[in-house]
Amino acid sequence: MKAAAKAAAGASIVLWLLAIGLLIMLGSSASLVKVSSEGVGVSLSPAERAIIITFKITISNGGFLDLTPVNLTAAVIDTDGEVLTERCESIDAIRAGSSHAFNMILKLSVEDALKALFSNKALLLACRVDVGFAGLVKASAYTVTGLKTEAWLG
Amino acid sequence: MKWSPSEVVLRVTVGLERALIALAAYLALLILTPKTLAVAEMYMPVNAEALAAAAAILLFFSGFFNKTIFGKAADAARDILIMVVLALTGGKASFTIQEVYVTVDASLIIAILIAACAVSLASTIISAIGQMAEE
Repeated sequence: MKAAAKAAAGASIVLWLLAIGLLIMLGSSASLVKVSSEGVGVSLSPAERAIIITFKITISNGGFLDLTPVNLTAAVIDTDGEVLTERCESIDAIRAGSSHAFNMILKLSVEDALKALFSNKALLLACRVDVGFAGLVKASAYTVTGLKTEAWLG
Repeated sequence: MKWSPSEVVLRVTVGLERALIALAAYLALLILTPKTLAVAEMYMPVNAEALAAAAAILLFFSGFFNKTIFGKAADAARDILIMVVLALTGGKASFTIQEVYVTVDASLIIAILIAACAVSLASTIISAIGQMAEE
């Protein structure tokens, strides 16, 4: 009886140490992951009757755990939250100590943009990154910024 | 349970020593959590102060009634309290860093901690049964 109780107590301590160790490892590795974006470019494509929105997002993994999987979703939404156009990119993994750049190109039809503008709705660019830390912990981050397409629509 | 005054003092000291562990853990959490990452949106069924106080009281009783059946009961209550709180938090936290909204799902780590508490609870129950059998 005593031996069983001691073994269980030992197992409990091992599990506590494992969980705390994992937390420290994940926390220190996550703090070394950097996400940066380069300016949003907006241009008009008369042939496609579309507004082309381009930007670049770079994820650099300076930590010691692989980021796996990595999903990036970018969308143009209006102020009601309706998705006008969307694009998803995903890669299996960003290895520790390496980085990956996502070149995002979104095509927004001129009709959709005009509809939103005539309804007094602003256009927003939403970007969401979903990553897993070595498959142990999932994290997702999103940001929403205003999109100035009015100049291209006259 | 007839204890001499010196043993009572010793037991109070052990109880306070254990209660200080809960308070130290709470203070460490306060210091280590950066202010910018205020984990405000993490669902907690009770506030952290109440949890720390409850844990401190249970740890005090666990130390005071050390090696008695009441001590085992306090240990079991502590494990159950931690398990319930961990299970209700769900391991999800969300916070905001400079207009970036971040959500972290650490349910695997929470599962390991719950398993640790369950094993500790099993150990407490086994040793309590053993003690009662001996008595």
